[in-house]
Amino acid sequence: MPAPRNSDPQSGLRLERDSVGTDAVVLPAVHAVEMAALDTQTGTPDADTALMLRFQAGEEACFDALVERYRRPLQGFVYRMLRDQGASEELLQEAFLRVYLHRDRYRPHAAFRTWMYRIAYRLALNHVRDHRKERAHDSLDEPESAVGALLADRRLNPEQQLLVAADAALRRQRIRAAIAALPERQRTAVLLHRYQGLDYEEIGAILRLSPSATKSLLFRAYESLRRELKDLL
Amino acid sequence: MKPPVDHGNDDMDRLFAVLEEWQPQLQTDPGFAAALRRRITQLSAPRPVGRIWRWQTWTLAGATAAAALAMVVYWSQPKPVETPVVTVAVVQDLQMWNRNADLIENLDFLQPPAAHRSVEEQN
Repeated sequence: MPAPRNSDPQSGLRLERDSVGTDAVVLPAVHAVEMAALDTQTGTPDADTALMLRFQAGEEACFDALVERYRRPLQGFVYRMLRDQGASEELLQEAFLRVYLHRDRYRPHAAFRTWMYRIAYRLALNHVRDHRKERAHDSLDEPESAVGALLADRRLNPEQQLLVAADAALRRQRIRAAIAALPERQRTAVLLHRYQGLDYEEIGAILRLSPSATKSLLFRAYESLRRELKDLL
Repeated sequence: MKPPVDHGNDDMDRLFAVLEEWQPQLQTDPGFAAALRRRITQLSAPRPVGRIWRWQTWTLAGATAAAALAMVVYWSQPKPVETPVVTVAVVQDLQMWNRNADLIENLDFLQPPAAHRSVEEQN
């Protein structure tokens, strides 16, 4: 049972220290109801948390709103983890399904975004471990619109367009391969930081690391990538 | 959305620019939400009790009851009084005597064997 340390009488928020020694903002039940009345159209993590609390309270429409809001960013994250579009779609369904079925387990001391990414991360990790042998080689046939954009560039003749497109595809393959070669945690941290825009605290919460350990992890990952992709810089 | 670059390293800035080149354009399945709803409905619906489940339940219950009855019958039966077999030395001696009656009757430790006896007689 965490001991109350600090509280704000206006907002009703309490700062508590949990069993692992990290501070967490705890929303009392009354505050959760108040939050549910907030405008949730802003798309911020707090608004998503409010949506989740409303869903917990029984508003099914809030779940649909969360799916709509998180589907694309999560799809990008899961796809970069798996590099398989079909599998990433299936895994995304599974992640949302778990949110629906385990909604009672959600506690608002963690932002909904962190919780959601944590679920997707765990599922993706299991999938990667289960299909390790199948992913021995990386493919070039990745869905990219950049190729289409280059081919539509009227300043280049068709031959030049093809050369530029092939060069871009090779660069992307190098980037993908360099990221894929990182250790699992470093890879996930880079994907969450660089492509999903999560901050150190959020990444740390997903990977179960302190913010300083997360910074160190990211620094090592970027150093490795800088060495690996030196000729592209 | 992207976090600010906080290290001021030119190499890192260039690295981040290179990493941005990997932007897969993923197709979004228009039936995603409907498929998700379908799965949720399937999982949320109460599962009907199937015939197989009922059959298994009754079989298990019957087997358990039969086992319990067998145990009760087994433990409630009076145990037979065991009569210990006493093998007394005298009885054993008598049995041996009967089996080897002829041999014992003709045996004479004081009488020397026939061969020895003939040699002694010659001397």
